[in-house]
Amino acid sequence: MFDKILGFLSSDIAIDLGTANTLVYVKNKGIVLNEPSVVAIQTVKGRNQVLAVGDEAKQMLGRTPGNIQAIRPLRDGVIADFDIAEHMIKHFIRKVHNRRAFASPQVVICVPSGSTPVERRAIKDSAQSAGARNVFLIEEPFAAAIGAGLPVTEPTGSMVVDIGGGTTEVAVISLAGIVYAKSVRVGGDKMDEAIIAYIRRNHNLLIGESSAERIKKEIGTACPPEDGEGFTMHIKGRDLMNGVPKELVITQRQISESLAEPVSQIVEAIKITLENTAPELAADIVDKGIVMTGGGALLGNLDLVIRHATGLPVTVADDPLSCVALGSGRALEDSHMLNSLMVNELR
Amino acid sequence: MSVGTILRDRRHALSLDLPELSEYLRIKQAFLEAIENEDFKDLPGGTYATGFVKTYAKALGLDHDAVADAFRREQAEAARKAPLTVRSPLKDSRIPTVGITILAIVLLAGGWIVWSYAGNRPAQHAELVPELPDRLKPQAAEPPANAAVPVVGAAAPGPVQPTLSSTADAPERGAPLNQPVGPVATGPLSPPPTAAAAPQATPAQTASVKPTVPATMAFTAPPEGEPDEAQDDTDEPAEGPNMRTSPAADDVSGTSYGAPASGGQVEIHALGNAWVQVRDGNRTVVYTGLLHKGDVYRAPAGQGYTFMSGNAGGVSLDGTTPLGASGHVIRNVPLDAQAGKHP
Repeated sequence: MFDKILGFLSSDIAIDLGTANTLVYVKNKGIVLNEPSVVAIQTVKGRNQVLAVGDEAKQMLGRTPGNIQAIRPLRDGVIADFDIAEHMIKHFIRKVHNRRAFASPQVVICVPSGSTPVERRAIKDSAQSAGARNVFLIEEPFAAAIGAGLPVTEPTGSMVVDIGGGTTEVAVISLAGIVYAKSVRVGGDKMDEAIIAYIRRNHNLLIGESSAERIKKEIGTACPPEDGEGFTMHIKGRDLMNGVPKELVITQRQISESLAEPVSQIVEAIKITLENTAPELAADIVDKGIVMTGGGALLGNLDLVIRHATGLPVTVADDPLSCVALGSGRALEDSHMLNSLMVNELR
Repeated sequence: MSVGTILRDRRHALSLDLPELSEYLRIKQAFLEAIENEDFKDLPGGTYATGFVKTYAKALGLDHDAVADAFRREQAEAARKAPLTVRSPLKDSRIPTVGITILAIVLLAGGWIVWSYAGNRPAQHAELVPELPDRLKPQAAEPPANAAVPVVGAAAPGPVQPTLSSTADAPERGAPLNQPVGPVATGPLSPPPTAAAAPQATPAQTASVKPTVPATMAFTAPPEGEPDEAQDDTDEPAEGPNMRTSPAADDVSGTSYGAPASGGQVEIHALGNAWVQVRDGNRTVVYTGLLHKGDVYRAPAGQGYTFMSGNAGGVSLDGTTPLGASGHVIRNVPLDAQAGKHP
């Protein structure tokens, strides 16, 4: 009874709680919020207070004085810092409700398919203490496939590769369920780290995470350019030899070398999944190929690498960054789907 | 210009052939042809079709996003995302459907109506006999008296009953009716089951005491002979073989039990309802029974008879003085000439 009254006061939401970005889908409205999953905490007289969440907090990342911490509460797709994650979810729920009081929405939250029950429990509890009335968990590759518009409820196999910030989820889906899924903890973050490590090793230049991410987005590519060095980019950082800030030029070929390691891990995960796919589903996948979603799908030429490695057609979904959130939202708007999520959770 | 045409023109301009492109893109040649011919029936659904177009355009060096947008505009149906229709488990309900329920109710109601109508109908009348043919009519007119005979015979137990009522036994009993008439030996054993029923059936005959006397004589006479056999199985006073024909407690005239009156016998007079058990000198039970007000029990001639009673106030030896307080149990009261003076 009380729940129903609260239900009128609040709009149900779906949250793609990603390692890098959190997207919030509000029922009947669409995606209303897309902010980095970063929380800035200020310590005042021994007490921690939330200073900023999202975009604002991300700008503080790596630039904070002693009494402020900019924290990413999620690592590898799961909650690493329970309290901070709760603050963040609460902030986002409030924000989409325009700080209305008594908001107690039903919430659909994505979890990596490889997450442990403890990790799922942590995400669920965070959302509940953040004020959610009911929490439904949906597995990320499934949400991604719905968001990409694949025929997930049909009796036909669909293969989706969701490369997120913290994890890469590879899954074969049929009849509204995951037939086989492989989750590797390689994603955008690992690519950034690979770039940082490569530049430090080869150029003795230390760059920050944000810089690395910018490099990856602008000139990142999965395979070396066919001719020459490709595009170039100026990068700035601290010289490790003499400790002074320094700027140098880096080429696309170098970046593709640095990214070879994480890319090969992703390809490996896809191959393992294909090996474990039942023949009927494999037959479906041969014709239709693989669909890539997530921010990692935007890495240049990654589809080419996967196509050559697997021999299958590879499609990058439209708007890959918001596929998971869109899919969660579509699941939220379909009561049958919500019920089946509940059933899956009880299993 | 449509998307298919743009792609084909571009491919011709680059002088690429489809098998080559299909090998490079890993997209089936049939799909690429279908895209160029804009025949999307055989292409896999929305996302895949759009993806193939995009990949194709990208391979040909076109602006793949623009081409994909154009494709979505032109082929809205083919580019539509797959609908989300979740299969729910088949209903496994044990509740019958509305139709079956209504049918069952109608059948039940109909059955009840038929049953109650049939049940309330008066008993079935005999079939009408077809009218006599003319040739038989003269014969039918002749013997009215004879025709009636079988009717009387069939109903014999009823009409005959009054003639037997003097025997003071159950009128309904068909064959056993004869037994009391044949007075002596069968009396003691056969009457018990009917003795209880008889009084109810013949309350009106209670006045006819005298005809029963021979019967009671027949019963009570044998104590010297084989008293045990006669009475061991008759411990319960209510249905004892006392041959009592009068159930009416208020009947002051009373009934006589025990030995026939021969003078000089001790008699137990009932002043109210009293249970009485009489034993001979060997402590063998001679009589057990409930005496009603006005009843009399005559002890057999001889010495040593005693009796006990459950209601001292209800029995008397001289006919007026009770032997004790009402409800008291008295035991071993001697039944001899001097007994009346004992208490």
